Amino acid sequence: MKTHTKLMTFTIAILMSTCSYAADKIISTDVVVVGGGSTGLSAALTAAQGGASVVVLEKNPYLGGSSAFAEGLFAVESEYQRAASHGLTKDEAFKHIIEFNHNKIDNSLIRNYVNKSADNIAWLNEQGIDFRLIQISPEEPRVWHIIEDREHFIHGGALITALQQKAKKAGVKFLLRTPAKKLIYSDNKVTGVEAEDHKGNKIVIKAEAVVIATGGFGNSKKKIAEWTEYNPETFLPALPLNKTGDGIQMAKDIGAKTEGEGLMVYLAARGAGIIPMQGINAMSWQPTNLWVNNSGERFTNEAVAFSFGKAANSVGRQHGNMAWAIFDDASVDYATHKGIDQGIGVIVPTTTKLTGLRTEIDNALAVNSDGVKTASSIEALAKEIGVPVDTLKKNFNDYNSYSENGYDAQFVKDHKWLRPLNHGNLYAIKIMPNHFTSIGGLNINTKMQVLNQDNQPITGLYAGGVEVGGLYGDTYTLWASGHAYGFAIHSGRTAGTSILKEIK
Amino acid sequence: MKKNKPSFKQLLAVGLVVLTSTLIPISPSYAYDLGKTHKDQSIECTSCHEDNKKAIIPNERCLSCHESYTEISKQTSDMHLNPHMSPHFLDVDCTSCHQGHKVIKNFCQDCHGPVARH
Ligand SMILES: Cc1cc2nc3c(=O)[nH]c(=O)nc-3n(C[C@H](O)[C@H](O)[C@H](O)COP(=O)(O)OP(=O)(O)OC[C@H]3O[C@@H](n4cnc5c(N)ncnc54)[C@H](O)[C@@H]3O)c2cc1C
Repeated sequence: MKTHTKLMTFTIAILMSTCSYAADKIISTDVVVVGGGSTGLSAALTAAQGGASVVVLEKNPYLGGSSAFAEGLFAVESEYQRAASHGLTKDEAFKHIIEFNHNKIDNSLIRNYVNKSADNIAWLNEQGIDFRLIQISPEEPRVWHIIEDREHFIHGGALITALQQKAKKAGVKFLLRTPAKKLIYSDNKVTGVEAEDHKGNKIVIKAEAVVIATGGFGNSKKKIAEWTEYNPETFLPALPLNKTGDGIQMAKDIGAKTEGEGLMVYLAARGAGIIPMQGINAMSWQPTNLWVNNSGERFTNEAVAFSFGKAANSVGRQHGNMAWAIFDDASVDYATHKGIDQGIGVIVPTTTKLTGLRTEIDNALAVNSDGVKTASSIEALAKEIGVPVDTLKKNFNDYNSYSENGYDAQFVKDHKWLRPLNHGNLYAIKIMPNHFTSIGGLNINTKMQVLNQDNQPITGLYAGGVEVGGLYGDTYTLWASGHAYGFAIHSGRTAGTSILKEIK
Repeated sequence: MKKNKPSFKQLLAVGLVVLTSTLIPISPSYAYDLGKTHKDQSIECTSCHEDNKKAIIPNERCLSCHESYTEISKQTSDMHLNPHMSPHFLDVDCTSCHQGHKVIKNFCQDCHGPVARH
C-alpha cells in the first residue's frame, strides 16, 4: 500500500512536471542567449556571424541592461593607447590586476582577457563603435575607452544599439519581455531553456548551446542578502533594471558552482531632494572634503574618493553604513567657478563648473532633506547632523590644523587636497554606498563553459559578463577602469567562438 | 546548422500588410488606451490581434500602419523627453508602453520621473 501511494505520487509528479511546462510554442535554434546586454549581444553576434542561428531572450522591454548606461571599457595596448603614446603593457596590467585582488582570482581567465582586450576594441570598431581614451583619476592608468555617442544614442546605448543592428542583420532573433525561467538539463548536458513571454505563453527553446548573460542580481534584495555580505537595505542599486540573478540561479539549480558574489560598490549622496549623478553627488566626491562618521569621528583619508570602490568600502564599514562629507562656502565657490577636482566618470567630468550647485543645495534644504544640512558654526552643524558636538569640534579643529600645516598627521592625505574649512557657512552631505551591479557568480573556464560542483564543464552551457566568478577579490578592480564592460565583450565573444567550434 | 530566416509565409504576410495599408497619420491625443482609439476608428480587432488574442503583437504589425519609430517620434517631439527617440534604446516593444486596452504606461518614468504631456 505504502509503495503504491509512493508510486502514485511519483507518477503524478512526473505528469505535473511535464504538464506544467506544456509549451505554447517550441523554437529550435543553434544557440540561445539569455540576456541582451553587451555580453549577450557579443555572443549572439559572434555566433551569428559564424553561421549559427541565434535567439536572444531578454527580460526587459529593451535591450542593454546596465550595458546601455555604462560608459567605458578597459583595454591595454589598443590603437587608442598607441596614438596617445600610453606605455602601459599587457604584462604590467595583468600583474597589477592580480595584485589588486590579492590573487583571489582566476589568473588564466584574466591573462586571456588582458591579452585580448585590444583586439576586442578593434572588433567593436569593426561593428561601427568608436572610443576616446580617458584616465578616470590620478590613481589609475589611461585604460578607459569611453564609448563615443553615435547618431542620437549616448554612452553604452551607442554600443548596444550598434551591436543590436548588426545582430539583426546577421539574422539574430530577439524576444523581448521573455525571461528565461529554467534550463533544460539532463545527463550533465543543457539542451535549451524554458521561457515565458509577457502574455504568459510558455516557450521552449531547444538549442545546442545556451549562453547565460543576465547581468547579475543587483536588483534583488533577497539575493544580495543571501549571497553576499552586504545589507540590501543600505547598499542600493544605481538603476531599477530588474536584474534578479536569474542566470546564476538557473545554473545553480542544475548544479553549477559559484564564487565571490559581491557588489560593485560606489559612493553616493543619499537623502531627499538629491538628484542622482548631479552637483550634490559630485560635490560629495571631492578629495578636499572632511568626512566624519555618525559618532563625529574622522575615519580615513578622504582622497580615497578618487577610487569609488575603496571610498564606498571605507564609508560602508562605518556604523549604519554612512558618513557625512563636510565642506564650506569656499569649497562651493571653488567647485562653481574653478570646477571640480574629481568628476563622476564622463557624466560630470573633472573640472566641470558646478554652476547649479547652490540652487541644488537650496532646493534640498527647502524640502528639509535628511541628506543635506548647513549651519554657520561647527557646533550648530553637529546638532543638524546629530553627532556629539565635542567630538565633531575636535575632529574639525584637528583637520583644519593639518590643513594649515600642509601635513595630515592622522591619515596622510596629500597636501594638495588639504584646504582649511573656515570660510562662511558649513555644509554636510550624507554619503552612503550604492552599487552599479553585482559581481561574482558562476565559475567558468577560459572557454566560458560553466563548471559543475566537480569543476567539470556542463556540456552546452556558457556564461559571461558580470555574473561570473573568478574575476574579483573583495572589491571591483577600479584600477583597470572599465574592467567589467571590457570583460562583458570579451566573455561574449569568447563564448560565441567556443560554441562555433563545438557545434560545427 | 539551421538557418534562422523568416519563412516565406511570414515574409508574405508582412509584405501584404505593407502593400495593402495606407499609412495613417495618427493624432497624438490617441496615445491613450489604444484598444479604444483603434476601435473608435473602426479598426478590426484582428488588425492587431490576428486570430490569437494571447499572442504577442510584434512591432512590425504596429509599424505597418504607423510607418516607423522616426515618424512617430515627430508627434512627440514637443515633450521634454521624447519617448519615441530614446538616447538609450532601439526598437523597444511598442506594447510595453501602449498596453492595448489599458492606459499607457511609460517605463522611462522609472528613472526619469514624470514624462507626460501637460
Ligand atoms: C550606471 C552604470 C554605469 C556603469 N559604468 C561602467 C563602466 O563605465 N565600465 C564598466 O566596466 N562597467 C560599468 N558598469 C557595470 C556594467 O554593468 C557592466 O560593465 C556591464 O555592462 C555588464 O554587462 P552584462 O552583459 O554582464 O550585463 P547587462 O548589460 O546588465 O545585461 C544583462 C541583461 O540580461 C537581462 N536579463 C536578466 N534576467 C533575464 C532573464 N531571466 N531572461 C532574459 N534576460 C534577462 C537583463 O534585462 C539585461 O538586459 C556600469 C553600470 C551602471 C549601472
